[in-house]
Amino acid sequence: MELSYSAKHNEKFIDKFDPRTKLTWYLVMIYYSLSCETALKLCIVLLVGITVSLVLTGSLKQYKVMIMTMLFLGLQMLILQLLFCREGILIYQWGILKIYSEAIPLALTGLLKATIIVFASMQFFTSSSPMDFTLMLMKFKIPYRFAMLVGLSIRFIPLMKDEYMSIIESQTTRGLKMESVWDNIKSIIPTFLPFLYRAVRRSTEVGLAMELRGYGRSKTRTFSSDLSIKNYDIVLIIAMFLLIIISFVCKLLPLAI
Amino acid sequence: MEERLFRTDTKALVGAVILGIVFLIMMQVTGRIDGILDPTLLLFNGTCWSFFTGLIILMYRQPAGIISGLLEAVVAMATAYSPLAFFFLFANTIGSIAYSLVAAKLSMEKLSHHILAQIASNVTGNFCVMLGLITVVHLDWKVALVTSSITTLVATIVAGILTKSVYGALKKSSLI
Amino acid sequence: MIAQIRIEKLIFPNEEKPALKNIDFEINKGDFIVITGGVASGKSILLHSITGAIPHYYNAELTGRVTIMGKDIKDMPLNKMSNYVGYMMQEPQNQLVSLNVYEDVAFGLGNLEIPLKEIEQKVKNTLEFVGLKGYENRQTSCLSGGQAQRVVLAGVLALNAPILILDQPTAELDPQGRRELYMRLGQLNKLQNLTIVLVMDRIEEVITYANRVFYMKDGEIAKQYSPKEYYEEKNRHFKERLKHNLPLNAGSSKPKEVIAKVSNTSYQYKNNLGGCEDINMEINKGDFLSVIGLNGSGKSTLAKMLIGLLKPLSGEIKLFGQVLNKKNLAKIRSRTGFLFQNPDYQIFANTLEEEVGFSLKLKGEQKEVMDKKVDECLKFVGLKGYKQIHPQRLSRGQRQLLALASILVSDPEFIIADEPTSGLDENQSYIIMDKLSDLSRKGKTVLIITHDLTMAKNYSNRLVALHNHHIKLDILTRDLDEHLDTLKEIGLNFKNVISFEEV
Repeated sequence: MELSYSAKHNEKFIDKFDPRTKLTWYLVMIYYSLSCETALKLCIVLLVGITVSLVLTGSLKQYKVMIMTMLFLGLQMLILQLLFCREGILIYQWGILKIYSEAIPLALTGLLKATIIVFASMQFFTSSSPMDFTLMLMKFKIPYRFAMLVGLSIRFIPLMKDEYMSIIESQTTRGLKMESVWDNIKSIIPTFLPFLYRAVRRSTEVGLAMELRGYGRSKTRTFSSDLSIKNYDIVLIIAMFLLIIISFVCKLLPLAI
Repeated sequence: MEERLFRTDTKALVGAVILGIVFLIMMQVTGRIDGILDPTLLLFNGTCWSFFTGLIILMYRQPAGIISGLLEAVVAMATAYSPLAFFFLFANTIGSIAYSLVAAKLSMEKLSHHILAQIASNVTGNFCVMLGLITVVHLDWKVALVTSSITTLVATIVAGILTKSVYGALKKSSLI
Repeated sequence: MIAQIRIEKLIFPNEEKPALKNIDFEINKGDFIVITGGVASGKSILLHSITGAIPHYYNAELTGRVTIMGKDIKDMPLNKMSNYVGYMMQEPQNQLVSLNVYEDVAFGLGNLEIPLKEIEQKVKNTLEFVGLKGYENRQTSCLSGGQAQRVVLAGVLALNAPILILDQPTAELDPQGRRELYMRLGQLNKLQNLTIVLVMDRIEEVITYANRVFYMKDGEIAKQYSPKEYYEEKNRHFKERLKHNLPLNAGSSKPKEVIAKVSNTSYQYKNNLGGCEDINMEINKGDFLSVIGLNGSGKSTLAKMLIGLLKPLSGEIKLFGQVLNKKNLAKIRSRTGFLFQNPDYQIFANTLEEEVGFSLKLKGEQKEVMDKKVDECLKFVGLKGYKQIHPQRLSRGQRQLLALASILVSDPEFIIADEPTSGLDENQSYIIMDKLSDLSRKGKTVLIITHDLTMAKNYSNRLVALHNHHIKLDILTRDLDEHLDTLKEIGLNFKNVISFEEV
């Protein structure tokens, strides 16, 4: 669950864009994943997304984790569609089990749609540094006390994951077994509760430390960097919104006629 | 009414983030169990979701509930952990708001209050995920309705009991 | 002269048994006050009432008056307190709120809306002062404990508050980290006339820099000392202890039975940090072994390998004559007890009784036997009166004792304890160490990891010093004097780190 931020190095092409441009691109991808209905169109959308990532970051390595998740989902969807799909013509029957011709195309388009959404989400949420996300939220008029929580979460996720592992270790040395699924279910409470108590203590301390260093003292604060939207960002954002509007209108028009 | 719904002090905001991380890690733990036992129904995941949605609101109210819900959803998306994470964005937000609206009206001292609040968040939250299953995954609406209903039913009862006892233990511990 | 901090008739909370009562004192500019006292004596709560966390952060009522530079803290919002006090706690990781060092030191300055240019200069200067020049772009998660605590100090100092309040700031640091931090506090106090109030359980190292010592007991300031008086009284107690109850660290002539054997063992973490290399050692039955070394030298890794939490990349570990492997792990663990540094990693139950009984319950022990053993163990650590209390209501030191009780309850033959005295005051530490040494005399084997060189020297019969992931020394404690220089070279100064006479 490591979060990788390419923006850390500040050398890639992707860092030249404002997070707001990236957000609009994310909206475009989501729009198309939901509005396209054929496997071919969805494949094109996915390919465009992948190409953009490849050009802007030079690598697709971070998406590797997606493959297993999507394969597992694909398998599940296939089974569900084979069992329950009632569209198209009946091609096979064995007792109450009926398989219809639309099962496989439906599973495929479903999987493609889900893949595009997962891909685009990962693309967007790993495209900027936590600081850029904070600054973007502030541009959307979200007070800094809320916006800065982005950085705080990224700071504490790895720390708390390690802590949870230590808690598991601690309890296993007391004799708690963690071998079978049943063991795992039984161990939830003795590992979760120390984690919860620790978390509450931690949040109390962190909050106190922050407040005693003036957090929330006034409405604004000085940040070490700022977002400055470039002309090409504005052009891109307008173009992407136009694309969504035109495509939406085109989709509606046949209905209007 | 206002103070039963909202808290915007630093303690609550930081608490939302830290508890949000606990939420996220426990979702992964329960997700692994579901992956083996019931990959479609996601009973453990569903219960874990309802439990945290409730607990965080009882501890820190709003907007803490929404913040930790968004945190869970966003990290699940950024790490491609769950294919349905996109719908968690909506499920977590709406479920959390529904829970806090009910919880603000009740004293939350009886088990029935916890169950009622859980019904509100589970029905709305699972409805969002169900819409996702139908529109994206093209699952038949009847199948989606049945799986969502089973998850809602189990999660409401189990999470209702759990939130009550864990919140009680937390109060007894004088940590909150 | 107006006192910088004045506390009058403080009682908190307003209940039958308050945690603080009858507190009356004044602290003047340039004072360096050290507050110490037993477990749950109210030291930390007292600090919270000076920072304004009580009543603003912990919603409870406070009786009496606390004023800082003439202003009542009841009327000051917490986020304006940084004008008056800087506050630092025990766990540095909970006070670092940003991803890199620069952002973290700049955090408070940014909140005060100071212009960016000024912030940059201030961050640079403060980092230089705490000895971390050029660390601006380091990730906060990659710092050692000592470095992290110094970044926290920098973040607090950057705000230029005239008073510095510290709650157990060195509890998680090794001897070198402690020394460095105390030295800087001493400098700030002497050169910049900064007022310092510091709470600590073990104060012999910091006392050199202090001008007054408050000793707290049951929520009251039981006694005020000058550092000299405190030091003399402590020394007297110590000598008496040695006379009456000489800890047995003399090498025994008993025939040796090896219960653990580590051969050519190495371990390396994925990120190439820390680990252990080429460890060879034997632990004999009845040994009281202290593993010492600076943070990151590999002490915890060694201990974790011994209990099978980490699997060695090479070499083998034998416990009770069997090679440690997945099959016999559960059996071997049932004969060993491992006390983690942080007691909160294991405490989960709703009552102390339930907590201590947990491992017996896992073993399927009968209720009567369980009750008896739980009672014995709670009595032993002095927590019997709290049997039905929620463990999280205990102080940190008491939780440490509780964790020890939950280990001892299953009557282990081999006890491994990672910093068993952290968070405990001197008396409590002696109680724990006396008990461990008792157990070792009865034939149990004890291995402790410790930063407390005094304890290591006085209680163990053997010392193993780790340095840079290797065993540097493995000696009998009675031969310590021959190795003092070698130990000093690796940052472990046994020549009584700082003695009062040096001042």
